[in-house]
This record gives sequence, structure tokens and C-alpha cells, in this order.
Amino acid sequence: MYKRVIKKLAVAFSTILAIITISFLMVRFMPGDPLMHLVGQERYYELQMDAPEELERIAEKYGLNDSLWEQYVGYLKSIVTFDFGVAYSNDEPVLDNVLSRAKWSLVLSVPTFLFGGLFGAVLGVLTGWKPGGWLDRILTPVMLFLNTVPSNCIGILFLVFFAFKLQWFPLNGMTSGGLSGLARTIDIIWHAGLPMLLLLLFRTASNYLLMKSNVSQVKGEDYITTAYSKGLSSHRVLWVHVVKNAMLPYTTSLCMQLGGILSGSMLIEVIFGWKGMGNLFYTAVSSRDFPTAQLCFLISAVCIVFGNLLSDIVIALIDPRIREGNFDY
Amino acid sequence: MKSTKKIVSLLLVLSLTAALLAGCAGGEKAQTSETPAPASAGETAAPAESGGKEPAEPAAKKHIKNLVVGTTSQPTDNSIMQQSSAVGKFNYNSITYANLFYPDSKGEMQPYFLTSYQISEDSKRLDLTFPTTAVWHDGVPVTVDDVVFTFEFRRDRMKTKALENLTEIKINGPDSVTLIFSEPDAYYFVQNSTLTTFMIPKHIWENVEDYTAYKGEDAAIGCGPYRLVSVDKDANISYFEAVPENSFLGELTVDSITLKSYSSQDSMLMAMANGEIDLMYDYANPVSNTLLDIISGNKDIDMGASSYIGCNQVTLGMDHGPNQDHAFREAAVKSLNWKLICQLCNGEYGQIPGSGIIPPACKGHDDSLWKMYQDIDEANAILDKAGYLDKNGDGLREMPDGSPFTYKVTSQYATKKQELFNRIAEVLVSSLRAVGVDAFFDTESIASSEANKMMLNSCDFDMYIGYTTSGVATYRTAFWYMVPRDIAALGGAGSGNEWGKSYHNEELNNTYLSLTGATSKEEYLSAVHKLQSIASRELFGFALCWEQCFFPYRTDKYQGFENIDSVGVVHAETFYTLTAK
Repeated sequence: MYKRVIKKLAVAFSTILAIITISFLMVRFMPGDPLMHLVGQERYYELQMDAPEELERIAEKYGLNDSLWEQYVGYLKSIVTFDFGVAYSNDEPVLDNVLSRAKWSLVLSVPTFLFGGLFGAVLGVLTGWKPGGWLDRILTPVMLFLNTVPSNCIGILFLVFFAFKLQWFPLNGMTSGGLSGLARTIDIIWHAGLPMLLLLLFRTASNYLLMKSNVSQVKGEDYITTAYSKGLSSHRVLWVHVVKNAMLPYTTSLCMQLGGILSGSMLIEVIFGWKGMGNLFYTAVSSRDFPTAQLCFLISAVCIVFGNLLSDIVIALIDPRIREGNFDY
Repeated sequence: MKSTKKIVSLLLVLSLTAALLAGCAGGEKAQTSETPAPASAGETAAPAESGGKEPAEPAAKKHIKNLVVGTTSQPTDNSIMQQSSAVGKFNYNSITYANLFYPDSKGEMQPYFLTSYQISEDSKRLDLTFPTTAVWHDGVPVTVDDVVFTFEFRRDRMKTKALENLTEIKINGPDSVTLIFSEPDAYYFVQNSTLTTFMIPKHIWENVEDYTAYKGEDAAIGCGPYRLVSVDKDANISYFEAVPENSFLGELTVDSITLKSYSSQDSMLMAMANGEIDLMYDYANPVSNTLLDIISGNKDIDMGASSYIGCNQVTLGMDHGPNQDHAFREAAVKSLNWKLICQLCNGEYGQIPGSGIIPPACKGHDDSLWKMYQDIDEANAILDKAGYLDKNGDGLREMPDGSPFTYKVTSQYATKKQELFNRIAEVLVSSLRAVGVDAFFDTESIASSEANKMMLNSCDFDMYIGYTTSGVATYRTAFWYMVPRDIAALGGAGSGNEWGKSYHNEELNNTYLSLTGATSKEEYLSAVHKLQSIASRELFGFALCWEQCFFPYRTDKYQGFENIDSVGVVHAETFYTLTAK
């Protein structure tokens, strides 16, 4: 068990190192000149004409004139020392920017994770246990639709219909401003309503399909026939034998979903102007804010790698076959 | 099972705590004074007392209590020295800072903070007068020392090229100074002081070492007509209130402004349609014609259409290949599918450009020059006559000496416009191939900014797609991108992208120098006319489309809008002319 965990940890760290390198290179090959975003469009042209040496000074200050290798070494140092520098966008420490945005992502992603996991599991069990029933006939096409259509498409449709046409929800942002205390909290929940609903639908849909498939598969196994032959009730067979076994891949999936808890809702955050980490990541990439983009990429990657690692550990904990090394999952 | 419950409960509590903390913490404030009530468009109030230089008008204007403006820039920074944030860009209209000058609807430079200015005949002296009643937003009066400091700071710290030859600042009194230049730069300085030549408070910035990085709360202090009250970064809203002492153009009719940032133009337009905002301000980013459906048919919204002063354009690589031959250049422009290019750039609103490049909204535009058109037969005939024949029968033309050639089309490396440029490049390539030119779209040079700069600086292109912003178009014109950098930069050291490096036409260069060195409007207009004439004749570059731009605004509550070409209804005069209905 310990050997397995150590091996998985080693793989996780080497994956993160590879991701660090890839992320470093990726953000530098994005279109656009970071200097233009740093100083502003008109000022950029003014300086280009009037004082190119001033532009050079700013480029020097942010290390934009260093060679790629020097920038890479500097980046590795910053990771080790947890000093990620200042963001080009607002000259604030990158870590502060990212942490303050991460809390807003959690507001959306934690309830989505919990309730999406719960609803997906319960509905998946019910329809997987009785395929072809009325619930299955209604839910499966809807969930399939939600699972296959890109989130940004449905996001815009929801925005147009519920926020623009019906005006049930605000169009953009996280709060209306000028509020405090409970009124502000209620206002935030109102603003979070539509993006959270969408994320919940997407998460429920994917979880539902996975659980339904698991249950359908498990209920055809020989040990289920044995359970029935022992005279167990359907209810007991379902919850004790079927669900318990179907939970194994489902738990893996949930652990992996934890990896996207901070940046997994990027598109929805962008569409609804929710200032979470996904939105910050998106803005940092489009404005070539290298330090911010790199840290966002790093955190996302670490979350995903550790989500995978966690799933390995959890599976080993709950499945004695894996724990005892008789079965490699 | 119990532990699972615990974990689930813990996560749920975590999430709710995050929401509560976020809610109860309050917004991040730039300045901690009182937060105004949430933005609600359409509120009006009794007129406030005007502290401006103009006496109150007999018929009281119906003030707007709170004007709600939408933008897509985010409130990241509030310093008057920064332009990349929502507040920074909004400041182009003289909000927290006061520009010395502003361009009126005809593009003429008018005094804003100044009460008057006078350029000497030789353009070496600039007499300025200014009010003595203005105050910085921390209550400190604006004095002649601040005026002197502003010019010194701009010359010595900000390296403003137009002030490079400023040798003396003569104080004539508490409300007047004279700038003395060693070269005739006064006219150029005034004409280029459009958006960011503002007053700088000495008591704040004299001890600041790196003005680009300074983040103190007082960095937001200017002597503009509006004080930044607070910024709620969570709500993406900035609040401003009028400072009557600084009402430089008469009576301020807008008592407070709420600037709301949206994540995209789509949601901003929906917010306008729903009455959440009154008008929009998105510097140099008019609403795309593809989004107009959101507001079309809404009787309370004016599209805010006007002629766009900037343009997308092509610069030709003139120092190699067939572009050195005028006949080839003429055939090339006549082979292009202009209708499709205009459709791409501006939908049904695009106008096929004239050969003089600069759009009709620009000062000195010459409408008499021939317009671009597509005539494949004529293009083929020109190429045949010039000797560009398909001698080896592969369907592609060779050079007159029989050697094969390829024709590289590429574009500027631009985040927002890259997709448009790619589509335009495809149209250019297919048009040129239709007349037998082996044209191709070079995607390698848009793979990174470094690759793009390298391509540009080595002039390794035949057609280069770029764009002129409205700011550059205002005075420097699109020709700024078509002359060598040492010419464009007033004879200073060249740097950055070498757009016009491949073309050395003495007549063009001298004419451009006479534009930047103009000492009067007549000289400037004469230079602009001549530049268009040279462009029309030589075809070293061309505009891709003359565009209409859209800056929509609601008309149901307020009146007194003036929609300025390429700018829209939000500009320096807006806050003095807009009144409630």
C-alpha cells in the first residue's frame, strides 16, 4: 500500500514538473504583446513613438527582455520560494490575486460538487436499476443533451433566456454593489444562481450517466444473481450489493472532479462575469499576464494531479482487492 | 459512512462560509469614503451650484443624479498614471484627471483644464492660462507650481517626445505660463495632447520613484471634474461624484457617475436593453456589427452609428519581389474581392475604401481620389502586359525574367483581431490566386509575438495586415504605419515594430515629416492631402475598409447627446451637455 502511494506520488510530482514547463512555454506563445496590456493601448503607441526607451525600461522591469531560459529559471525559483511576483494586470502580488479569486470559485464549485455528486448518484441508481422506466425515458435524453452540448453554448442560451428575456437573474457579475451584510450575501446568492444552476446541471448529467452505466453493469454480475438466490430483497440487493460496487468508479470520478474545483468552471465564470479563478486564468492568458497565467495553470494542474492521486488512495482504501495488491485498478 | 457524512458536511459548511464571508466582507474599496446607493439609471436631481468659471445659465438645467455607464474594461487599477483599467480608460474623457486640451466634434483642440492657449507663429512659444479655482481631490488647490511640475514631469520622467525641446517654462503669474521650445514643436504638442496630457499633482508625485508602479491611495487624485469615491471590485463598479470647483467647461450636469464593468460586449448590450446602463464607453472598441441584433428594434436605444476614424489596412513589402513594380501593385489591388473584405470587416455597413487610405472622418480626407474596385480581367491584363506570365504552364505567374515567385500575406499579431485578420488574409490570398499569383498565408509569423516582430523587422512579407487605432488616426494617421520608424518618431531613435521599414520614398518621408512638424492647421492639412495623393499614386499600402462604428446609448431618459465620429456619445463635453428629460 505504502509503496503504491509513494510510486503514485513520484508520478504526480514528475507530471507537475512537466506541466510547469509546458505552462511556462504555452503562455509565452499566446498572441499579443504583454507590454500593450501593461501600459494601455494609447500609452503604448505614445511610448513607441515618443520614448521607446521607457518601453524598454518597463519590459526590463518585468523581465520581458530576458531570454526564455532565464525566465524559466526565474519561474522555477519563484515556485520553490512561493514568490510568484506581481501581476501585470494590477501590480498586486499574484498569489494574493489568485487566492482572493479562488474563494469565489469555491462559492460555485463546492455546492456543485456536493449536490451534483448526490443528485447524479441517486438518479443514476434509480434509472440504472430500472432501465426503460418512465424516469429513465425522461432523464436520459435530457442528461445526454446536457453532457454533450458545450457549456458555453447552454450558458449563453440560459443568459439570454433567464437573465435577458425573463430578467429573473442578473446579467453579469457577482453582486450589485453598494450593499453590505446579509443583503450583500443574499445578493451574491442571487447572482450565483444561474451559473450555479448550470454547473449543477452539467455535473449532475455527467455523474448521472456514469452511475447509471455502473449500476446497469453491476446488476448483471453473477454475484447479484447469487444475492437474489440467497433470498435477499430487491431493496437490499440494490443498496448493499449493487450500489456498493457501482460506487467504486463513481468515487474515482468524484475525486478527479475535485481536481477541477478551482478552475473547472472557467467558461461559465467568463460568460457570467463571475470573478473566480477560472475567469482570472482566462483574462491572464488573453492579456498575456504571464505570472498570473502560470500560477493559475500550476494550481489547476496540481489540483488535477492530486485529484487523481486521491482517487488512487481512496480506491485502495475502500477496495480490499487493491489494498492487498491482488488487483491493479 | 460516518466519515463520508462528515466530509460532505464539512465541504458544505466551507462553501456557505465562503459565500457568507464574501458577502459580509464588503467590496474592496479604492478609497474608503461613503459608498453611494446602487446604480439606478434615470434618477434626476435639482441643479447643484456650479463652481466653474462660467456663470450659471438663467434657465436651470435638469441635472442627472447618477449616470450609469457600461464598459468591458475591468477596475484593476485607479492610478491616474495607468490606462489599462476601466477607470484609466474612462479617464480619457477627463474624469478624475483633467486633460489640458480636448478634441471637439470637429477634431479641433480646445482648452479643457486651460482657459486659453496661444501658439506663436514660429511654433516655438506656447502661452497658457489656467484657472486658479481648481482643486485636487484631496482639497489642495491647483497652483502654478503644479502646472510647471506637470510639464517638467512629462518631459523628464514620462519622456514625452513633443516636450523634448522644451527649454524653459516661464511663469507669467498665478494663472499663466509660457512654454518655450528650441524647435517648432508647440503646434505638434497641442495637436497630440488629446487623451492623456493631464495635470499631475506635484505634492503627490514629486517623491514617487517609479510612477508606473505607484499604488498609493492618493494615486487616484487628480483635478478632474469627478472624484473617484470608491471601487467595488467584487461588483466591478466604480463610483464618481462631481467636484463643482473643477467644472472647466461650464456647469456639470451629471452629479455622479457609476461605471459598471461587464465581462463582454454581449452582456453589456443586454444590460443596456434592460435599462441597467444608460450608455457605454469602450475606448477604441465600438460594438461589433454582429452584436447589433441584441438592441435592434429597441425604440429607446440609438445605435450611435458614426464613421470610424481608424481602419484595418495593408502595408506592402516594397523592397523585394514583385511589389517593387507599380504595375504589379496596381493589378494586386484590382484583383481583390473588396465586397467580401468589407463584409468581413464591417458587415453591411462597410464601405469600399478610396486609394488615399484614410477614412472620410479623418481631418483632411480627400474624397476625390479613385476608389478601390475589383476587376479580374483588368488585373490579368495589367499583369500580362507587365510580363508576369505563366511560362511553365503550372497555372501560376512567374516574374518577367521567368523566375518563379511566391507572395507572402501575413498579419499583425493581435489578440482581439487575430481571427478577423486570418479571415481577411484568406480572402486576399484567394483573390490573388484567382489572377495567377502564388499567394499564401504565412501562419508561422503569427505563431508568436517574437516570430511576428522578426518577420516585420526583416520586412519578410509582401502584404501585411494591420490596423490603425482611432487615437493614432486622429493626428498621426494610418501613414504612421507606412513610413520608417525614424520618420514616424519625429527623427528620434526607432524602436518597436518596423512597419514601414521596407519603403524609402523620399517624397513620402518628407511629407510625413511635414505633417508631424506642422506649425499650423493649413500645413497639417496640406501634408495629409499630399500623403493621400502619394498613396493613391504609388499604392504602397491600402485601407481594407472604411467602417461605421457603433457606440449605442439609451435615449429615453436623457437628452443632449452629441455622437462624435469614432468616439461615440461619451467624451469630454458629455458631462456638461447631458440633461434629464
